[in-house]
Amino acid sequence: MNNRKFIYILLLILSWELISRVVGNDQLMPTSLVIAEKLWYELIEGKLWLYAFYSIVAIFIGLGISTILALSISLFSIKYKWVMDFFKFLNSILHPLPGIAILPILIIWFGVGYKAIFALVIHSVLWPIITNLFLALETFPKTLSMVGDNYEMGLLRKFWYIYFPGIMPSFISGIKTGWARAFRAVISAEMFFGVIGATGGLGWYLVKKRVFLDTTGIFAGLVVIIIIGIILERFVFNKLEKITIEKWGLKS
Amino acid sequence: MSIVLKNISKKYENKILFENINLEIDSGEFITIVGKSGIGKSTLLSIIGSFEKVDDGEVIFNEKSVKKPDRNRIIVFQTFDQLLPWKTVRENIEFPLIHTNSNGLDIEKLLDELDLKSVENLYPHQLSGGMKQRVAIGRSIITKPQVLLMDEPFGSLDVGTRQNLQRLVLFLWKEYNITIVFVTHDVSEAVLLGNRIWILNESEIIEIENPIMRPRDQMAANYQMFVGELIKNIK
Repeated sequence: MNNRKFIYILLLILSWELISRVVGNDQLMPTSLVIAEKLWYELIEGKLWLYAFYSIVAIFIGLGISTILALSISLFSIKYKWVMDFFKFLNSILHPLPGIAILPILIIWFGVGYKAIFALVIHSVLWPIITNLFLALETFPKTLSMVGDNYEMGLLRKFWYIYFPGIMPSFISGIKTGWARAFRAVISAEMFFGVIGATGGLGWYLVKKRVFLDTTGIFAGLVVIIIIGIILERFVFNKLEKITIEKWGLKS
Repeated sequence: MSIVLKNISKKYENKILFENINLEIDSGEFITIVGKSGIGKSTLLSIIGSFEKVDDGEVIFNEKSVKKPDRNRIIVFQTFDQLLPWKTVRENIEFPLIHTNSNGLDIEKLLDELDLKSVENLYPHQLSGGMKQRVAIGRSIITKPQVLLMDEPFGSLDVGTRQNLQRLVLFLWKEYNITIVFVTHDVSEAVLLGNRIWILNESEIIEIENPIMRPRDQMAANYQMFVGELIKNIK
């Protein structure tokens, strides 16, 4: 973390501390120290990490399925132009549809449970990834594709060795957008569904804390969500970008 | 080995580029193609490599009618984006060997010949234009193809780099006995490199044997005269 970001975080904490002390009501705005204590307690005693784990697993499974789907669609789009046209059309209809809006129908179809959550995550993630991949495929250098043809590479081989690394910048960017949307979708669904599995995820944790008017607990949950986001951005996506597109000179 | 273009016709956006053309390339030839911009030089090269479909006629390679590109007719482009950005110089050159399961040329010797030994671990974005083209040439000949199709490969390079690469291509042509078809908009380059020159005009293709012996001196009077003669034929 560079110094400037560290100063920003410090400023945010200080501002929070100042405002919360002016408000002077922990039920509305607990101080940062109280939130920190609560966070520690919830992680150790309240098993907040387990709630987070459930949400993350749901996100990753949904994200994984969406990625495989998006890559398969892209693969066939290279061979058959109508596949790209069809999914572009579908994208224009379904992409603007908020995940939470289709939740009632997903519940009717799949019931209350992980199946509905995965379907929701897939809907939330698939379209941004596809949009990015299609954009990359449409601007993909023809010369690189011709290199594959020159060595008589089949479609699958050509996709894996030529197209996939070539569209990596757009793929990572799609995954980043998809991840954020998946997180939102999962938390919303968990809030909607209540407990799923052994404990439920972060969404359920937040609902429980609201029911018991545990404002500090809610903030502890939010801090965990923020931390997960930062860890993923910094240690997964940034790292992935560094070892691929930055190294290859593809980062614009 | 020979390539025969038999009764080839090709339209592009309702404009007739070629109508019923017949051309032949023999093994070991160095053919250069010149003509105005947009006349169809690159399209003709793509047809020879089977990258471009024809409206009529056929391309015969090794006595067989061919419709798809293959590893024996490798194309090199003018644009620098033909290299795989995620592979180093060495990996780019080795790429065809891995994907064709062939032994090919000795990569160490080739890296030396191409003067790329010192940059073998760099990525394409770290190379100059001339180096990138040398990598592209290296990759194209590593599998010992019978034919090299070069589409204005030095078009974006400065004069000095261009001259070095012209020498390099001539060296590789002799060393590895490859048939080369080379598109250029520079008539002087066409005369320097080609044994035979095809001039593409709107209604015809003129084939001219290069009368100047190798090594060719671009400053010599007969060289300049021949270049002038060719320019007069480009319509």
